[in-house]
Parts: sequence; structure tokens; C-alpha cells
Amino acid sequence: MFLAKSASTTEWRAISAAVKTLVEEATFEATSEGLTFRAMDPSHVALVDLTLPNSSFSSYSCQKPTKFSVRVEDLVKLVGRGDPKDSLEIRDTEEDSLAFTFQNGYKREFTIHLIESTAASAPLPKLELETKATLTKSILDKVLADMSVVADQVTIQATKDRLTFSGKSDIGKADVSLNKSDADVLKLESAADSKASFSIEYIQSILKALSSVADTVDLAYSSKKPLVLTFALNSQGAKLLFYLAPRVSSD
Amino acid sequence: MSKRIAWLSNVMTPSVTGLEEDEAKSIEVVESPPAWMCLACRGAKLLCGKPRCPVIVKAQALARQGPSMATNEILGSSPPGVFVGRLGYPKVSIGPMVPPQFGDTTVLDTPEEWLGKPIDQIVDYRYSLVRGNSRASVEDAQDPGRFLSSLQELAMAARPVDTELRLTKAPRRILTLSEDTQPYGPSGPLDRFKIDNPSVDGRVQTAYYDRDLDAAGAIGELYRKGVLVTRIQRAFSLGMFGFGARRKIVPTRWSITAVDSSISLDLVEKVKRYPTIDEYRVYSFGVYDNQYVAMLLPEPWRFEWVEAWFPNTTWNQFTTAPYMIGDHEEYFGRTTYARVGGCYYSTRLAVTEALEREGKQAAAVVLRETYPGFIMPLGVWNVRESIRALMKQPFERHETFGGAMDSALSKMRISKAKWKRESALISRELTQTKISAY
Repeated sequence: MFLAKSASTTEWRAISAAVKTLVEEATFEATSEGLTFRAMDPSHVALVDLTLPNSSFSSYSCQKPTKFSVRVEDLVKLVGRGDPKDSLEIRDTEEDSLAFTFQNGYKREFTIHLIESTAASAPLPKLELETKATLTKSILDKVLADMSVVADQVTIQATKDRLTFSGKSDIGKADVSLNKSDADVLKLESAADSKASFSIEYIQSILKALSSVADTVDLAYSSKKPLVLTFALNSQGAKLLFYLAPRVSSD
Repeated sequence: MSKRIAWLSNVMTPSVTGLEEDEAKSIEVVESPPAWMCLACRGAKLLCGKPRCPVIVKAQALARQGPSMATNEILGSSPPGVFVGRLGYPKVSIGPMVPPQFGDTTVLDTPEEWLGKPIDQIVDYRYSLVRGNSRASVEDAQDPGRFLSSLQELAMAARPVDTELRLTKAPRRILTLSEDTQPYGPSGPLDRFKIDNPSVDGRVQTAYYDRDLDAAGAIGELYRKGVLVTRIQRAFSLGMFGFGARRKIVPTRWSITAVDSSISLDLVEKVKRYPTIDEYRVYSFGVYDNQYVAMLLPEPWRFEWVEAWFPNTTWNQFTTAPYMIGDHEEYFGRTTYARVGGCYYSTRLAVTEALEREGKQAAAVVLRETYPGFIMPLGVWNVRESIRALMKQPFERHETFGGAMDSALSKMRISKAKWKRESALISRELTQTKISAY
């Protein structure tokens, strides 16, 4: 028996949108500790690692470890039927289905059939990252939009007290520099100067999917290492980690 | 806006065009862009840089049709062919296409059979079909009247149909000087037309009478049953598929891309379920002074199409460097219209068709270089059939992307560096690492 109840549908709307940027079929794993999801996109460039500890639900129970595989499109549509103020209860039913119950005054219940999934679980990259920063999501949105005017990849350079974003192409170049003292920079720690480049499109699509939940984002990376973005989905420990492999120079 | 003038006879002599003086005067020339270059050249100096003058090629094709067109009554076997114009949408001109000849005229409107035939012959096919124009509202397809019904019946025919086409006056022969239009034959306002009992293609007929099947479903069904893509397009343009109350007439030009897009979307979904190929592959093929190269990568489905128009070709008249334009889609597909236009979808169709035939998945990068010997655009069919031919060529196998790319780009005239910059998927493949490597 599995049951997970949330006071609002906001997290699930964000989660399903984030998963949709990556895969068409998603497998969630439930244990007594909580609910997790981990997958790479088809090109193996990005990985999402989602953790929803039991404490992040208003009520949670899971007697034995279980996996649920769903078509992401179905999940997005179904969760989209909830209003932000609805509570959402998800539980398994006997006939290989998941039941979703929205409640806010009256009750609405949907069931979706689970699918067979062959997806192998993705191992988590082992990383020691030297630069860690916390930025407001609005500044990151803005910086990436600036870069995308001229380029499809962004180069991030970090020193002890400055974070520089730059992009260039045949069209021209763009540079944005953030200081540790800027209001949009909540934290900046850099054990060593770091410089790496990443696809703008990948970062933008995860930011867009999670636009309604987190106001800030933690960013960690090192030279020639992946970028890890951490989003807090609520204040009870639900979080989503987004790993993105760097781009390297072709010469 | 294009200008119509009657000056061909003043500029070129009958010995060049093959047209009698009076006949030449009756031909209207649509001039767009301005004809200063042609006036200075008169087909003699080839100022436009092409090896042959496209105006002369078209004029000679008109001459070969001879006086059989100078009548308002055309009797012949329609291949079958129909046409829907796009001007004035949602009120459009529609009508049958009939050549002044009887017999097996199938090839005249079957682009699947054209690839590799001389350009003059393809222009002849186009010019031999007389179009009778009548106005229709696109919504007429929901409840077709007698005229539309008999056009639809014609479009359903499995074989050429003997047709009597009467126009209110002899067809106007128009020679388009503009570089960006494919040749189209003479046309005139339709008075009436009559067809002999056609033997209909049962597959198309079934879809036509199924008013509860959506259009995409009908297109997919007919394609799976082996109906030629251009036949599906023809019927689709007359609003013959889809939910009864939603049927619409679709201009020929749009219908071609709609059908290419719809079929290839189905095929993409199938291809995504197949295992990926085991090697990097390079295909190449040249026709009509175009060079096509495809690279298939052992990766999940992704697709890119980039074309490069050399100076003195249709889409690049006034510069000295090749003009490159392309677009691509990721595994999950695209939601906006590809900026390159119809060729993108024809290519996606031909590539997914080849992958589906083999039961394999791959990421595909398809490149085209067009040289000045490609003297006039022939239509989207040319790209579809060229890529189909490309994907049937024996391919090179490579162990690495670098090896495949070097070989593929060495078959092109534009520098490797430039292609690497222009192709989003090539540049990404060269720079993007994988998260699974950490």
C-alpha cells in the first residue's frame, strides 16, 4: 500500500513539467523513506535526480518498496487538472494503477494505468565541485535570455567574488558579470577559479518547468565538469537536482 | 507584386525560343524580381550565371506544346490531376488538370517517377497540363456540391481519366520569369468539365467515405497501404479526409507539406522504438547539380536539414558567398514551423522512411549544396525523391563521428569549418559531453 498526500498541487505540477523535459516514460521509486525519481534525457546530456522525503508530504505511507512507471504526458495532463489550492493524494490501487484525488471542498478522483518500463536506472555522477553559488531564479533567467541572443551555449567563469557569464557566435558576443555583493547573489564560494560551458537550451527548459516553485537556485560546477542546479520544491526537504554535462571546445 | 508584360517577342527571336511571333506575343511574362538582367542578357550572355537560360527552357517547352493549347476545349486523359491555388484563401481557385492528349498520361502528374529525367522533360510535363479554374470556398469540402464532388472523384481515380474540359476562353499561357516559382502550365476560367467513369482507388475511397476518421489517421492509413505520397496529397488538398464537419480544401502547396509532416511524424514515433544503428554512416548522392549528404549517428532520434545555395542559384542571386539555412529538431520533436520550409518535412519523411524500412533508430544530419546548374526550382517533390534516392545509396561505415564527419564534409564544396559552424547538430556533437561519462 502506497499513499502520498500533498497540501497543494504546486510541487507535482512542477515535477511533472520537469520530468517532461527529459523523458516520455518515467519510473518513480517509493520506499518508506519517500519517493524518488532519476533519469537521463535520450542524448544522455542531462540528468534529473528528484527526492521527495516522506516528511515533505502531509501524509505518507509505503509498506514495501515499489516502482511506478507512467507516461509523462498522461501525468502532466492529469496533474494539470488540479488547482494550486487543491490537496492531492496519490495512492496505488489493486489493478496496476495510480489514483489521484484532488480535494478542495468537493473531491475529484482520477486513475491512470501504469505502464511497463524497460528504462535502466541512471547512476549518479560522482563529482567534487569547486564553485558553489546561490542566485535568484529571476537573475539566472535574465542572464540566459541575454546569452541566447547571440549564442546557444553559455560560458560561466567564477572567481572568489565574481561570477561571469558569456556567450559568443558569428553574430557577436554577450557578457554579464555578477559580483558577490549584488542583491541577486545570495552566496558565492569558489575554492578555485572555474570555467565551463553549457547548453543554454537545457538550462532554460528546466528553469521554465520549475518557474512556479523555487525563487532561488543553487548552482555548483568546476572547470570541465558538469553543472549541478539544485531546486528546493518546498520547505520540507523536497528537492530536484539537475545535472548538465559541459560542452568542450572543438579545437 | 509581380508585373505582367508581353515582351517576349520583342526580346528574343523565334530562332531562340522556337515560338512564332504571334504566339510569342500571346505569352505573358511575369516579371519578379525586375527583369533588367534578362533584358540586358536576352538569353545570350547568361548573365545570371546559370549554364542555361531558364526562360528559354520554359519558352521552348511552351513552343513544344504548339497550337493544341490554343483552344478553349481540351480533350484528354487527366493523369489524374487537380490543383488548388492559395491566393485569396479562404476563397481559392480549384480545378482539374487535363493534357490535350489521350492515353496513359500517369507520369505527367506523378513526381515519384520524375527524378533524374531532364529538366526540360519535367517542364514539359508541367506545361502539358491545362488547368481549369473555378472559385471555391475552402469549407465547401464539408458538403461538396456537384462540381467539387466530381473533382474529388477525379482525384480518387487509380488511372488516367478521359476528361472534357471547357474553358470560357483559350488558356492563358504564362511564362514566369521569376526565379522562385516552379513551372506551372496554362490555365483559364473553367466553364464546365466532364469525366468518364473513373476506376477509383478503393483505399482512397474508403478514407473518403469515413467521416469519423481524423485527417492524420486517414493519411497514415493510406501511406501504410502503399498509396503514393503525391496521391495522398492530391486527395487531401480537395478536403477528402478527416471528420466530416471539419473537412477543408487545402491549397496544393500547403497540402504537400502537411502530408509530408503528418506521415513523417508517425514514422518518427515508430523509429524511436527501434534500436539504434551500430556505426556512423555517410550517404551521398548528386542530381540536377545538387549535392546531398546524410550522416546517421548511433544516437537517439534527432534531425537536422541544412541547405546551401551557391551564388547564382534561385535563392541566392545577388551575393558572392553561398547562402546557408537550416533547422533541426530534438528527440521530442518541434512545435514551430521549420524556417527552411517544406523541404525540411520532405527530407524528414524520406529519412524516417529509410530508418523504418530497416527497423533502426539514428540521429540524422542531412546537408544539401545547390549549384548554378540547378536552373529553376522544380518543387518540393525534387527534394523528397532526391533524399529517398540518397538513403538508398550504399553507405560508408565509420567508427567515430569525427571520421564520418570528415568524409561527409569532404564531399561538399563549402569548407568544413563553415559547415561545422552552420550545422547545430554537428557543432553540438563535437562539443557536447555526456553526463554518463562523469
